[in-house]
Amino acid sequence: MHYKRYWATWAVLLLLTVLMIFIGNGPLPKLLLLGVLLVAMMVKAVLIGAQFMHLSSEHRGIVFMVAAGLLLVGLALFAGIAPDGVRAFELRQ
Amino acid sequence: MQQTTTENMPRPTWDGGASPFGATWRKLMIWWFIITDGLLFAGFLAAYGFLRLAAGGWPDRSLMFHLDFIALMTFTLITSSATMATAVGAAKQGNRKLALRFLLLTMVGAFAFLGMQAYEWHTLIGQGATLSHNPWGPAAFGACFFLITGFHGTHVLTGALILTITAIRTAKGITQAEGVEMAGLYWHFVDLVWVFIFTLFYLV
Repeated sequence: MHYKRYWATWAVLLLLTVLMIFIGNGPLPKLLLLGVLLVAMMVKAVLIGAQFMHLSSEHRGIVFMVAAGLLLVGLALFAGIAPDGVRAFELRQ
Repeated sequence: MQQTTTENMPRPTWDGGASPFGATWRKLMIWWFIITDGLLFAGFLAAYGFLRLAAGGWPDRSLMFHLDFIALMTFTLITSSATMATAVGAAKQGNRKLALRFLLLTMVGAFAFLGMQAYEWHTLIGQGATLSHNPWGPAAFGACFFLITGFHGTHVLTGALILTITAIRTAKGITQAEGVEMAGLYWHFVDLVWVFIFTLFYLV
């Protein structure tokens, strides 16, 4: 039964969530912690998109459409705002 | 006059014939909606990131949130996504009874999440948090938190209504597999957005 892959994805998502909570309360330096959590967050997002939303088996045109429209534009938005945010943070210190 | 036949017509570049990307128009439309709605959330989260950095400091999350409770909310939403995916799989195989059962389970998850979010809001408001003020420091926290979780909560509420309508129509045999799949794509998107909110608000 191919429902198994959904529940395997569910198990991995839960495991990642527990790990993130565990790491979030751990002694890691702030920047490293941020990096680890962001990577884990993106892995979870890709898992949901690929498995639950079936992007892994969709026509690659749809995958590119989502990757370019959401992922790239979303990342560009953060990349554009981040330098100003960091400058504002430094000014407040 | 030259006759045009199927053989000598140019092949469509998107491999889908009359249907771009081999997808139905409904699937294409829901994906476009997800992309634009996702960008709206990306804008909110980018603004939140900027405001948090510009505030120069941020309230300690352990003062405001009970992480065990938020973990339970996350568990509920992830589980409801798995039940939804199973409902879509069952509907595609023509197993209406199983699809309906898992749709109902997904609805339980949706309404449970809404209840838990209402409880969380109630607790924070009870402690004095509003859109413009909170007892833990930077005023921007309240604005960001209520705006973003509120916007996500509205999506959950909409999703719960869509799931209810889809379940009723599936029970009556009106909604076919594709309709269940569309509801599923929306519901997974709601789960996807929570992955970002959970990390950026409750863990960072």
